[in-house]
Amino acid sequence: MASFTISVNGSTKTVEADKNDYLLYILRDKLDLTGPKYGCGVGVCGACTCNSSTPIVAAEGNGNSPYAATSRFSGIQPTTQKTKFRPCVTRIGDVKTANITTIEGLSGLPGGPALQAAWKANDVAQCGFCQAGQLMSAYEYLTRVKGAVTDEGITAAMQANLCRCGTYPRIRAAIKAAAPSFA
Amino acid sequence: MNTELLVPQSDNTSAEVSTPKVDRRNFMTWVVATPAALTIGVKLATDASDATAAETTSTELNAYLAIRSDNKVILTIPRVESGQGILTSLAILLADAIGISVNDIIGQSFTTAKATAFTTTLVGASGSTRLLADPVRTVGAELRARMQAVGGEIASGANGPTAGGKTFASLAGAAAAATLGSRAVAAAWEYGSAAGGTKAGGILGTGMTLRGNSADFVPGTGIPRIDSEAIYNGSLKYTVDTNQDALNVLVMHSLQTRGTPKNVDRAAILALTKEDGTKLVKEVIPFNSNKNGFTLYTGVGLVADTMGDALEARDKIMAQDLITWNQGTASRFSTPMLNQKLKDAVGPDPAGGKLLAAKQVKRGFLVGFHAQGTLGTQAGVAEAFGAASGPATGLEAWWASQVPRYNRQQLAQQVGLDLSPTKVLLHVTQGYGHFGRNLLCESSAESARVADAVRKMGGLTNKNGKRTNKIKVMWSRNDDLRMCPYRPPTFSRYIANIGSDGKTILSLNHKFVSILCELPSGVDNTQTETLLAATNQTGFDYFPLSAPSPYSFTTTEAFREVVAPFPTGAMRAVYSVSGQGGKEIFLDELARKTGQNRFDLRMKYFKSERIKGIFSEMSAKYKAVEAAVAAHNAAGGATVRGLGFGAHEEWNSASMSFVVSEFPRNGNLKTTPPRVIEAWAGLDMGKVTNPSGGAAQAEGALADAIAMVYFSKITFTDGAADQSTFLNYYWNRMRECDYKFNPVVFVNVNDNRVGGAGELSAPAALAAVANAWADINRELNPSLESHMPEELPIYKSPTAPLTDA
Repeated sequence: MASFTISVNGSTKTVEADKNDYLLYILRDKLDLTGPKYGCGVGVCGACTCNSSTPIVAAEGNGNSPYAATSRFSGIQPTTQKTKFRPCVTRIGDVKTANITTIEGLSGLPGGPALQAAWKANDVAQCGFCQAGQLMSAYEYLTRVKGAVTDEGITAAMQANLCRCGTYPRIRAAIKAAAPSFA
Repeated sequence: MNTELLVPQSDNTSAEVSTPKVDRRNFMTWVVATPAALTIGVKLATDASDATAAETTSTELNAYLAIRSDNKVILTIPRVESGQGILTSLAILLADAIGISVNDIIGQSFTTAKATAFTTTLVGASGSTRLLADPVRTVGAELRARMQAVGGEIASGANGPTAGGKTFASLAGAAAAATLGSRAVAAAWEYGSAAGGTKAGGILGTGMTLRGNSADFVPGTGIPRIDSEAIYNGSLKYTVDTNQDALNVLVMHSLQTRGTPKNVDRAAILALTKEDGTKLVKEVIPFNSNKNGFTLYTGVGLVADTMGDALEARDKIMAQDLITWNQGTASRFSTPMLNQKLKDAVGPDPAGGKLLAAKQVKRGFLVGFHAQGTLGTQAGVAEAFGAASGPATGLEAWWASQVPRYNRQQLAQQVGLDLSPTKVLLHVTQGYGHFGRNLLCESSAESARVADAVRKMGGLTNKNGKRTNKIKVMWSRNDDLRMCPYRPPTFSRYIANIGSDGKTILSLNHKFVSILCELPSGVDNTQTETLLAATNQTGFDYFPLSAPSPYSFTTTEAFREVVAPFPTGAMRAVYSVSGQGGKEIFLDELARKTGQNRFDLRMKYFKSERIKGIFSEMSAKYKAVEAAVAAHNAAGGATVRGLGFGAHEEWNSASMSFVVSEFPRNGNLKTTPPRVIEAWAGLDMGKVTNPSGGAAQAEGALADAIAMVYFSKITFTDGAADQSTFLNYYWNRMRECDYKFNPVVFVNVNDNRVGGAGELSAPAALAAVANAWADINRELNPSLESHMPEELPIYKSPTAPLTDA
């Protein structure tokens, strides 16, 4: 194992890991940051979504059945550089110098408390398991467009986040409600 | 119902809940919730019949509350919060009962060391809120009386609740010692007084005032979930987030349903490494439980430092065939053959009605397997106690149990324990949208099995370097979709006998066929178990109770179960959603065949004032939408629209739903589903406590209906599920749910019974989405004999990428 030093929610952490270890399980099992959730493990549900201060390799899951391939992630194309990423398909060796924010650190970001307040005011959550990922995706979208949200933009930005309880209308309303805080 | 006052506890400045061990003394310390000066509980009389001999002396309560040293009132209930908002609804009731702000209340679920006979799966509609409303009111009234006796006027201040200007916490000891005499607390409770009176039909659109002083309690508008902040900052702990010191275990299951491990190459698995040579797996534990006829729990546990390591090992094991499996329980079954069995089981048409009817309308509907897979996968935590050389002496488990009594039995059985309260302790943890699948405790039982196996090894070293017998099991997404208790497939045949005027419905015959549910009886329900003990508890007995017709025409219903050994959940989801939803689909077909307006036809035959009231309130909107859809289609534009409709009534609740869907006029309905563009829902849940929660449940029901009608189907080939990811088992994303949704939650001032939402909205929403499809089919293909086929097309998952913008 090698030592990796990463910045999470403003703190510097050193963990022992293989460079190919996926960040989600390091966050959850080694750093006790259980806010990011395991929902699919192949980058298609968005339950683990986190943000980073600088674009990093953000692999996109293709949902390959792990039983149909020799690797869970064959076919993933790590070609995009994003500030929003899914740690279940992001290797720690690719994270390097980025400052990572999980849901536990959202309230420390500019506009984070306003986003959380909008979520609460719209009573978005039901079971709540997806909401960490939903909030982190929404945050990335709102900061990227500087609060100038559109229905089409919301749909596109939130498309990769699955909510099994069907709270999408409330998520849409909460994003619109939070938008002025990001202008 | 009896109230019970527990002994005063010494106050403590800590607000932390201590972790209990399997010890009755410690358990009772936990029962009083937290360091508290006063605990009041309520114990229902129905408890008396369910206790096993070893448990009859328990003082465990159905609901209780405590005043914590930080001046919060802690409400503890014997049910799991899994997103339905029961903690919020009950906190609202409690706040009103005491006369304080709901912000002063913290809700939590139970830890149980004994039977808790307070669960019903017989009916939907959020039984938790309904069944716990009175106990919660009772303890609230008791606390109010005690606080008033020792303090005076009750209020909520900036620092929490006060009586006579003093904090509840400072008065708790005196309140506990106060002698108020014996009186029927429950009977003294008065709930609700209508502001604005009642309307014909007992429905008010908005607004009513309940007794109490809580400024936060405004029925008719609702409040956000009281646990929502923890959800939005990531601090809410689900089972898989608890006990970070446990050993992580991924349990692998057979590709075939409930296949058992045949050969496990333990040495090769233990030799698996990462790229840098680090071992992936600490231990390999195969198990196959067939005790007392139970064959539910079977798999291979991979113990690892992280779930990531276990998942990587799983992939390598699959690639290298390091585990082989015996055939599963359903290896003979594939979907086409199973569907045919369901259809064949419906039997011949009844002859009687045809002799009287001038005309018959007949349809059959097939509803396929539906995965109850939540976004979180199954998980369970357990720690086994006892020396390695001897039998287990105790078990402590964490699990989002819907039926603690039943699950404790299962856990005890896994490790060979009896049910003494000191031996098996179950913490009910936060759940995530169970859909009835946490009735069976597969992952929890697995955690117990693996924990006991590790105990016999003398423990294993966890990531902190300590030896432990504590196990945290998590399922992979693939196994969760492949193995989760399904909503089983059903076939319904409906025959309506029509009178000589061509419109009057003389009678309706419904034959309902389902595969056998593993929990047909509504497990863990004392009353129904007692009632039907002599009938061997089959779903047959429960069917007429769970699916009563809301219509006044004579309805005969018959039920038949087909034995097919698939993992299934409780019967209620099947009967209410598939059976009642199917009936509403048929009613639209019936309206078309008899030339009647579907809305008017239902109004003509509804029996209860409750559902008539909803329809009356919603009729103007419905008629306006109906006219708008007709005008849109008459204009001959590029799209056609369909209007779908459904209604449902059960257990003192009623709902209606209608949706407008849109489809390209030149589109192919066989390959592309319509889009829902706007939807309405009307709910009467009795004395509603939190309309926002009710509306949320209706919102979820609509989304589930869209998925169920169009995309989300599980099919089987030789006993193995064909779908195992959220791509090939597609569930709605934002793009399928960009409709405008208009829920209306009514307040029924004529009914003091508190309601919930739960399954209430699901049958109506299912029918509405399916009927809108049929409406579009009629618009596109007016010459068809029937516009609703026996089975809707199984649409392929949308092909657009799931990547972000």
